[in-house]
Amino acid sequence: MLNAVRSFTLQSYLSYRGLFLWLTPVSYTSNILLRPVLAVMMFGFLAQYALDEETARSYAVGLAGYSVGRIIAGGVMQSLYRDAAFGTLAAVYASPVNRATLYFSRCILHVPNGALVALSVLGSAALFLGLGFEQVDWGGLIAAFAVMTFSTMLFSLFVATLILLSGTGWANWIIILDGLLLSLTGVIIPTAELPAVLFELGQILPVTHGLEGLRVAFAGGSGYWPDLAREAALGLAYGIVGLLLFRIAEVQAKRRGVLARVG
Amino acid sequence: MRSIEFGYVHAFRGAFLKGLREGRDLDTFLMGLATGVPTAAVVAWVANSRGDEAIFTYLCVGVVLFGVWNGAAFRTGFSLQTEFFVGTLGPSLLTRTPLFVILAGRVASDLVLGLVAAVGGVLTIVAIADVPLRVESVPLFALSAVFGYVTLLCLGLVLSPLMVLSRERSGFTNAVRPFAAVISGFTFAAPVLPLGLEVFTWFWPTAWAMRAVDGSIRGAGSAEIVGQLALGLLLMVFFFGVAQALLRLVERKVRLSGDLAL
Repeated sequence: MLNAVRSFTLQSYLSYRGLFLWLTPVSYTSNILLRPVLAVMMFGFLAQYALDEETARSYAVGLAGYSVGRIIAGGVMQSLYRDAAFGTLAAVYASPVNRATLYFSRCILHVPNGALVALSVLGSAALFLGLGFEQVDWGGLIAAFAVMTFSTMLFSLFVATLILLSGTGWANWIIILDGLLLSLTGVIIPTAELPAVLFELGQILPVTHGLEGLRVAFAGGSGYWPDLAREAALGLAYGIVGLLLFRIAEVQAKRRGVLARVG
Repeated sequence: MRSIEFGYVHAFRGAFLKGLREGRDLDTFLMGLATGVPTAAVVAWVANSRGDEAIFTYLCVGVVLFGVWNGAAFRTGFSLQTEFFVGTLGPSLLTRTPLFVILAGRVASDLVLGLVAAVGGVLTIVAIADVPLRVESVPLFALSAVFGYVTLLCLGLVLSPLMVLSRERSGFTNAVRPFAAVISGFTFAAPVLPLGLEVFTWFWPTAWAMRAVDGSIRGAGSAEIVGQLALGLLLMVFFFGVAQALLRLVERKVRLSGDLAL
């Protein structure tokens, strides 16, 4: 048991240090601090310009969920992708290490990034848009962010495994995922307003249900648990399916003798 | 002298065509759409909620320019990074053509390819919104919108050497791209910004272009709009100068160090 914990901790640390290339000061600051703040400005000021201040504040809460999802997805997807691209995954595949430990260790240290991004967004929304926190149910708010982080991590591992299987680059996938999170999870456009197909697609994306719970907690309500439970269940499902696909990716890589990608 | 100038035209054309050829695949096309469509959908939905024709028209122009900027800035950054990796920037530095001319061709092709995102954005807006466009002065509106597009070429040119000089290109792009989008006022008119941020827009050519777009939509006086465009033009000249100086700096650094990985 102790060995398993040690292996998980060591792999988490080494993969984070070696494969998460946004860890340098400029990249980290721009991705964790500046980008979320600028997203708040862009869509918050859009709402102030075209609609009203209250809507701008509502968008800011949505952007907090979206930004957490985006940073987690960007970090986790690039880490697993680069594990293959840099040739380190091939070496680990040759070892008898537990595959579940290997798989889930690639995401765990991205959790603090999600927390920092949430702080960046909410802080900048308070500063620029006058977002208030008087009514907030803090327990619900923290639970909502925790569950969204959990589901996005497992969803990102799942997508990263699809990248391994398809042999494509991660940059295109993050652009697509970014667009889906922004437009289909209720960040700005309420999910009920989406056409049926897009609504259904939004329901199986991470952040969608967590964001509904977050909005309830932000308004001081207590009925956020059903939404958070749905978000957690979705994440768990992606975790299980993703791990199965990861095993298939390993078998495929060994059979074909191809794993490393360019980039 | 004449032959050198003609050579510059050749170099510009070559860099432009090379950029177009590299970005002419289905992957780039789809990514262009993926870059432009979601933001356009969100902006169109917001504009539709209000139903204000003037705001909707302004946002249509903003979404197009935002799509071009996002796609072009992303491509400029990564195409240079690729040139570093595969070693094709070196031969460009060996020619007598200034790097400024070569990168201008490159950025121009990036902006043309960026139109894919813009077209995707426009189609999305048309599909979502049912608010009619309203423009008080069509000629000034067209002039301002085209000028806004041209200013992006200028900003792309400044971005190029900064990308070369920056050791951490992806982090740099991730900060510059949205910052430029915010102060350009693609999704809101500049006066919405708090004063501390509005100051930045005074020194940003695209922001003046967007002010002129706003003025032409709302029926501001011709003198006011022409004045805004003139200010934008002056700033563009200044930015071209900055780009040229930065590119000379890049060339000198590369030639002195003999190292393309600055």
